[in-house]
Amino acid sequence: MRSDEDLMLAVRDGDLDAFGQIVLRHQAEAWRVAYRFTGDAAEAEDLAQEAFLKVLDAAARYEPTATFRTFLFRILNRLCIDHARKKRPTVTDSLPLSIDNALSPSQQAAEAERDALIQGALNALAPDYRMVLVLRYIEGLSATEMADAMGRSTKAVERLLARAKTALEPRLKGLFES
Amino acid sequence: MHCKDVQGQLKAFASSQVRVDTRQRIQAHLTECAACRTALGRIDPVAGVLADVQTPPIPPGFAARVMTAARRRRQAESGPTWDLLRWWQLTSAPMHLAAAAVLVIGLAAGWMMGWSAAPSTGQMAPAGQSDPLSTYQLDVLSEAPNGSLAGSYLTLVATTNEGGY
Repeated sequence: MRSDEDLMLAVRDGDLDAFGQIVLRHQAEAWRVAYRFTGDAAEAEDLAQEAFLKVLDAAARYEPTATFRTFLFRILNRLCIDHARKKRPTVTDSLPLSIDNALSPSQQAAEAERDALIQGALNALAPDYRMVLVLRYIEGLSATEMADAMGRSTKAVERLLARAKTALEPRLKGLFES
Repeated sequence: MHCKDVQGQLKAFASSQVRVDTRQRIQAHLTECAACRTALGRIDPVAGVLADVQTPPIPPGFAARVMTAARRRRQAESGPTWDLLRWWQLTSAPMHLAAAAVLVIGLAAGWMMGWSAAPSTGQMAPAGQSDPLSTYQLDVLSEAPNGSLAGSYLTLVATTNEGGY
């Protein structure tokens, strides 16, 4: 199986099939970050799609100095933050979670409510707080990877994460206690 | 993964210091195991809450839509292209006839114009007796002095060899 970096070098040489493989491999994480950042399915799909198109645009200049994953998150970060700055408050269109047939209807309703509470807490935060929390807790990026994705130093990202957690914790207090 | 293996790595997991594949296995375990989520929550409360958050599945057809947009973008960059064979396959018989008629009319018009522009005498002047001014309708050069470029040209045109050229 070709590495992401090899595929990107092929994309740089004009291979659109290689780009298709990149999309298939990384569509889930692009979607997850965009969805958890926006809380809206339509906006998340637009942002994730635009991120891949920006990857294609940047392919001519691509150098494998970092992992492709970090490269993708760097693009997503810029798109999401710009989107949040331009956006007017609207009603978000959240999607239902996957139905877990092992849960009873009341358990599924409780899960949906819990998810809505978490997403609401994230949506209330400043865009860069939201992004650092999504990158750390949803995608599991290390401090170095987050620094690369967000264009900051490792120390700056660690301080940002600490402030983001301080802002989030009061909004999730009910969930901590449960 | 067993709880014992997971709980031994929760501190590294909370600070994202585990490999991607290990992280995925721990994450999968945490979605099923409340005890390990509670243990994680003691280390990092936010991590404990977000450990089992599930994102809705990616909308169906997402990758196909990205590729359609990508192909359109690549095509826009390379400029408009026209595939004759594809055009022939996509158009109807009347369009084919119209295209053929335009081609024939164009060729006929070109031939007619070429024929009407040919010299009106239809014959070369006899050798040694050619008058370039009348033969080739070069009246504009009638005043050309000897030794000038125009005069030299007239001399050249008037000179014939045995082949009549």
